[in-house]
Amino acid sequence: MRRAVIAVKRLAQVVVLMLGCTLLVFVIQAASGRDPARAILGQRASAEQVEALRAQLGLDQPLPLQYLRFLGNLLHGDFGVSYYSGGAVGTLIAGRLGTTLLLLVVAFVLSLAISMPLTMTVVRRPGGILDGVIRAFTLVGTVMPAFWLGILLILLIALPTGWFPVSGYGQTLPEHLRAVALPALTLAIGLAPVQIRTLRTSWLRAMQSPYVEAARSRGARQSRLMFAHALPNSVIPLISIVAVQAGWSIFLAVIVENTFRLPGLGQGLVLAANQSDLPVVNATTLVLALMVVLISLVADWISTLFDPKLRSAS
Amino acid sequence: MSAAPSTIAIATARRQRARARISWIGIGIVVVFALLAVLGPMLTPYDPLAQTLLDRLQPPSAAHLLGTDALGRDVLSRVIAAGRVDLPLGLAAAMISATVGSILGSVGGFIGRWVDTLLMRLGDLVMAFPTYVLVIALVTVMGAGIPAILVSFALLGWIPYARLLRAEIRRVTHEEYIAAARLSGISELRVLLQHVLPNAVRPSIAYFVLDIMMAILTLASLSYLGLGVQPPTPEWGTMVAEGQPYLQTNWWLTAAPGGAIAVLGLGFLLLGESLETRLRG
Repeated sequence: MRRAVIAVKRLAQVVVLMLGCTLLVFVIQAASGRDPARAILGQRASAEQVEALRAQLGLDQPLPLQYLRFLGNLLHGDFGVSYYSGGAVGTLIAGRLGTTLLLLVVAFVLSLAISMPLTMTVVRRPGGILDGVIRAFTLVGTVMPAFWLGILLILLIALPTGWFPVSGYGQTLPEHLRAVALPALTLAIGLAPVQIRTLRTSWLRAMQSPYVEAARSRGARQSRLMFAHALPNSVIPLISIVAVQAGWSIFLAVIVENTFRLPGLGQGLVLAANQSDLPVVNATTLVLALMVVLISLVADWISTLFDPKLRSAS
Repeated sequence: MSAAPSTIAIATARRQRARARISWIGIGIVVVFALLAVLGPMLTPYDPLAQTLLDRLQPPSAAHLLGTDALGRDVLSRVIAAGRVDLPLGLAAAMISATVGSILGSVGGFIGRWVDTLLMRLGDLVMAFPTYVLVIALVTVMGAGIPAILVSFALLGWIPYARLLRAEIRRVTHEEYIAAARLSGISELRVLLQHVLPNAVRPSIAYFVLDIMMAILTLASLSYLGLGVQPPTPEWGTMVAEGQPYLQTNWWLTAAPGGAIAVLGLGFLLLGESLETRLRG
């Protein structure tokens, strides 16, 4: 019962959020002062042609009506027409979506593959030399600009070994994975420090809690204390922080896609921004916003798997 | 766990000393960069904008300590001159966010009720957005450049400040000395400004220092993408982008400005973290 209420509440929040996003994007579009009809047809089109297209796009109607029409079009998958190429924005985005999704998934998997074992060694021996090394890593990971880190990886790994392409995305899945490997690693190094810090705090606290003390006094081994007793109770802050990182990770993805010339949404976004191609920028922003919302939804759902209080029916 | 109290005390003292040393490193880095920015024109060996096409893409030498770029401009001079762009802009961006956030946070925390609810819900909405992606949309509308970036910081960067200050204000207003101040009959505004705020700003100060780092990082990233500071103005992110095509032959073109951002960021991070622990304790 309670779980259903929470689920409905969350979904309602998602709907409200996405409505807010579309409204914001619509306001940006309206406030830009550019006439979409003129932008699509170009400077040489006659006034009559522009007027006809304005009527066709509904631009002669009041703004609230235009917004409803914009919403309706979005629901039908119609994201508008690119000012620059004249092509459908939806098709442009669909062609780039997969690249960004693969990049983000690999990046989050890699970041957890970095942060979990590192945190484990710290929790096993707090205050040791490794603790200091890991602290240095988290400092470096925090202050390195993603684009520079990406360039360093190109310089130190991609160019000397020749294992990884420095631009493009390839045709087959293995080629895709090779192409996103270094960009994803760049992202992972940017995401791992906060994850390490969060998990370190909660894990160390759990290790000092009465129930772990009780298990220790019963003679449980250290590894059992760490993984069976303390870890399940300390991952929830980690999952929450991953949700918080969603927005930042997407900005990082935008940057590294440009560093590695990966044809994803981020590269398309920057390209369109530099061409003042507002419909593409806005639609991409909406899709990326939806991604952030979905990531935090998934994180919430995973939290319920670890938290009996959220899982229970009472 | 079985350690005698004296050993723990020694370890704590040692850790405190190490922390003090680390915060001095942070202060040192920030001071050096600030001095370089202030004294820039006196220190730069060359005009950061002067092109000498005959000397293009020179490796580091005695004449050009960090070599020259594709237009024959001295890289060291440009890295120093860029500090005069990135540092004040980062500071300005963080100050704008802090001002807007502090005003909204005080209003929400002190007045409470529906004002507070409205502001916090608005914050939730903006936070759920990929904020930095939204900056790109704003830049597209306003045109790439500094004004667009400062406006985006004002619109999007206030939330953490508002949240921090609001939480502290709500804690402080329940203290007895605030009740005493109210009883003495001074105006509500004076209660807020003289009695509540001074006791509530501590967490915001530490966050402010970290926010400068984030602002510089964001500014450099946007400039790297061609959406921030426009060439030929020397800016670290722009310089990295300009140097990237020559990565294989002239790696110092990207390493020098990239390193500058990382080292300065490290300075602010160390400073901010030590402030955070000190102001808390």
